[in-house]
Amino acid sequence: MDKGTEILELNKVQKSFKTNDAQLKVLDDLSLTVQAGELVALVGPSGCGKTTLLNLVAGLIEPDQGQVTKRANLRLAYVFQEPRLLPWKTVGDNISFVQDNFLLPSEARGIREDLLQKTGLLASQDVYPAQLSGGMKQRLEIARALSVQPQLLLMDEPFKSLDVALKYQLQDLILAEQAKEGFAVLFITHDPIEAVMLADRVIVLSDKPTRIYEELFIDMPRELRQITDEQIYGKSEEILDFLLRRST
Amino acid sequence: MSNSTSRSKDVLRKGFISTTGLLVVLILWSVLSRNYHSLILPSPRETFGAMQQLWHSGQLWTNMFITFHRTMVGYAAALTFGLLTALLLKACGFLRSLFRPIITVVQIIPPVIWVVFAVIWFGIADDLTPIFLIFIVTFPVVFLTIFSGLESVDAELVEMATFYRCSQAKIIRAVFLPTLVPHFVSAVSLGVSFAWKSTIFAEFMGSSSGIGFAISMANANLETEKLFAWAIVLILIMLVFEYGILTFVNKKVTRWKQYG
Repeated sequence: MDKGTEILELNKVQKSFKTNDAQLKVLDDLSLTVQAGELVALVGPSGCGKTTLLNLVAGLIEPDQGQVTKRANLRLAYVFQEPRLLPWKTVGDNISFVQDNFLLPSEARGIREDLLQKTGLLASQDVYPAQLSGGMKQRLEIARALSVQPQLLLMDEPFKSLDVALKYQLQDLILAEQAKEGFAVLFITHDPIEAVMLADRVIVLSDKPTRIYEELFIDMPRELRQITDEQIYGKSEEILDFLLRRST
Repeated sequence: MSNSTSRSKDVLRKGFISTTGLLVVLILWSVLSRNYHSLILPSPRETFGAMQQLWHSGQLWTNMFITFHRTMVGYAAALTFGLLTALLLKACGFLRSLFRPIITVVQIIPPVIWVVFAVIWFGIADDLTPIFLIFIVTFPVVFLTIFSGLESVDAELVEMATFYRCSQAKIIRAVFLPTLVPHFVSAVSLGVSFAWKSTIFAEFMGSSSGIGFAISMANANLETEKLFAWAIVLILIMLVFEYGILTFVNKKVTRWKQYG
C-alpha cells in the first residue's frame, strides 16, 4: 500500500446516544481522512466522543448519518482502553486467538514470538492474564493488536496509567513496528506532548457535539523531534491552551 | 519449595482440626447414648450394627440403586430443561417476560406442597412421584444459576472477538462456554444436593421403595438405630459427591481462576 493513499474516510458523520430523557448528540457532521502509513493523534476534552469516533471506525457502532468508508479488506487492530483479554486463555493463546482469523499458523507463530519477545512477555507466554501486572496486560493488549499485522491500528489512550519507562518503551516499539510495516495509526491521547512527539497530524476535537476544532501538521522527522524544539513545543502549547480554555 | 511445604503443613493442620471436631462429636454421641434408651438415641455401636445388617441383607444396595436411579432421571431432566430454558429465555425477551415470574413462583412453592400434589396426581406405586418432585425442585435452581451465568458474559470480550473477525461459532466456543462452565458446574453441584434431598423426601412421603421409604419404615417400626444408619449412609454419599467429584471437576475447569 503506497503512502499517501487514502485508507479511511469519515464523511459528515453524526452519532447520538439515548440518555434517560434526551438524545445526546456526540458527533456532529464530522469528516476526516487517514492515509496509509500516517500517524494521526486525536486530542480533545474529556468525554468529547473520541472513543465513539474510534468505535465508528472500528465498525463496532454505526453512524446515524454520514458514511464511514474503509479501503476494501482493510485490516484493523484495536488497542482498547482497558485490556480485553480472555482470562481462560494463556498469554500466547490470547494472541493466537485473534491471529488465527487472519494468518496461517506457520507465519503467525514467528510473529507472535517476536512480539512477545519485544514486549518482554516471552517467558510468560504460558501463564494466564490474572497472573500479569497491569502493565503486562497492556503490553499483551498491544502485542495482540500488532500480531494481526494491521494496516490501520486504532488505540484508545494506550499509554494511560503506565509508568514512564514502560510508556516510552511501548511508544518506541510501536514506532519501530510502524516504520517496518508501514501501517497507519489513529490514536487517542490526553497528552499534548505525546501527540506532537508521535503523530504526523494532530486532530484537536471540540466539546460535544464533537467537531474538528483544529488540525496540526507536524512536518518534522520523528527522530529529530525534541520537546525543547520551538515548533514542537509551540504546537503542544497550542493544544494545551485549547484544552485549558475548554475545561474552565 | 518452602512455600509448598508450609502449604502442605497448613493442610495437615486443618485436617487435624476437622478430624478432632468429628471425633469430639462421636465421643459426645457415645457418652450421651449411655444415658438414653436406644429407641431415643442409639449408640454408635448399635448404629454400626444396623449398617452391617443393611449391608448384608442387601437392603442397602437395593434401595440405593432405586433412589439413585430416580435421582438421576429427574435430575438429568431438570438439568437439560433448565439449561435449554435459560438459553431460550436469554435469547428471547418476550419469553423472558412471560416465564420468569412463573419460574419464580415454582421456586417459591415449598416441596411439601409439591409432594402432596404429586401423590394425588401420580400415586405412590411407581417412580413418578419422586421424579416429579426432583424435577420441580431442581429445575428452578439449575435455571437461575445458568441464567445468571449467561447474564455475566462479558459484552466487551464479545465485542473484541467480533472486531477481530471471530466467527459466531468461535465466539460461543471461546467466550460464552468458558464463562458458563463455572456456573454450569455450580448448577450441577447445587442441583444434585437438591435432587438427592427431594428424592428421599418424596420417597418418605409417597413411595413404596427407595431409601426414603426405608427410612419411613424404620421410623414406623421404631428402629431408631436404622434411622441413624441411613442418615450416615446419606451423609457419606453426599460427601463423596460434593468433595470427591465436584471439587475436583471445579478445580479442573477453572484452573485459570486460581491466580485471580
